[in-house]
Amino acid sequence: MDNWLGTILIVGSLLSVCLAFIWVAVRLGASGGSNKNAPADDYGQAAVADIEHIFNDEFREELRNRGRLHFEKIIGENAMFLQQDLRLTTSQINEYMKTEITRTLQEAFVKYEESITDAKEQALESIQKTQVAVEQQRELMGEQLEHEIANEKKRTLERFDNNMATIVNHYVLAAVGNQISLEDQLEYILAELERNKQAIIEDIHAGA
Amino acid sequence: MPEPKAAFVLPENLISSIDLHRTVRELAALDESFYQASVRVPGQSVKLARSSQILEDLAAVNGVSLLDMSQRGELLAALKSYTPNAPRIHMSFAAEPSAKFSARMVIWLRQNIDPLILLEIGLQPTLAVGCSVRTNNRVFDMSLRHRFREQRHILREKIAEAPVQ
Repeated sequence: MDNWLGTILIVGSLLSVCLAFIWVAVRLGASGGSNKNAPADDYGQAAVADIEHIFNDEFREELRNRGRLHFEKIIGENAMFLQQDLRLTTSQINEYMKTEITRTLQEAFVKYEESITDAKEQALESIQKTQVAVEQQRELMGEQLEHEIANEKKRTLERFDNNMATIVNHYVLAAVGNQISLEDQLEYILAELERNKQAIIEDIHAGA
Repeated sequence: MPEPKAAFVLPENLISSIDLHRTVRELAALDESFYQASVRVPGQSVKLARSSQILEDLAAVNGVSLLDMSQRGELLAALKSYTPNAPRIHMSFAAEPSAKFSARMVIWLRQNIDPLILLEIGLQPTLAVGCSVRTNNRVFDMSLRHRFREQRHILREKIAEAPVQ
């Protein structure tokens, strides 16, 4: 910024000097013409000649070269400043980006961690609920199984109890059925007849 | 049913109604043969009917002379009147009983149930031990299976007393 200000001051001083010469020349020419037209024209021509003499092409070229060099210098400096600003800005942007990215990442990580925590809690809750449900189901199934086993045991015992005589009789028949002759059974049969004797007599005498 | 009068005695070997019918037929045939012999033309051969052991025993236990027409006729008439109303009892055994066994059974029945009772014998292999008795209106299960069923509380108690392994 200081270089720009210096350049503006230099250019301004040069322009003010030129304007001062021009004003002096015009003043001199105007005063001569009002009183004496011929000398005024002479002075004007002389001033133009002097101006032309002073600000000739070489001087102008020199000024132009100096202005170009100065402008190039200013441009170079500004470019350098611009480069420095750009680097600074780039570094700031990098820093800013790094900070923002870090912050964003941290926020994302925090959110991600919260999400993970929530998901974990939900998963744990779900697992606990599942465990409770499984435990309840297991207990229910256990009770049902015990109930069914008790019923089956009861049915089996009842069936065995009801068919006990048939089972034992079948076993006896299979085991020793062929070895028990009717003569061996005679006493048993007579005893059974004796036991049912009265009922047989009553039914025989009652008729059909 | 009118109770048959004990006008005669049945021998031990006359057991079933089949024996009775056969004996009646034999007695009738014998009576007929004697009648034919009495009215035969002299010189013509007569074929006498044979009497079975049951008929001879029946005549013996009743003191009937089969040669005497009147006694024979009385016996035949008594048997014919007795046959339709004879008290019967049906007994099923696991195997075919021997004649000795059947005689023991019929003796017991005639001594304890009715002196003129007839015994019908059947087979029921599933009985194993014991018998099944069927009278006019009732069935008496005297098998070992029925005895087991009646006494199953003993088996239950023994099973309950048995140590659980």
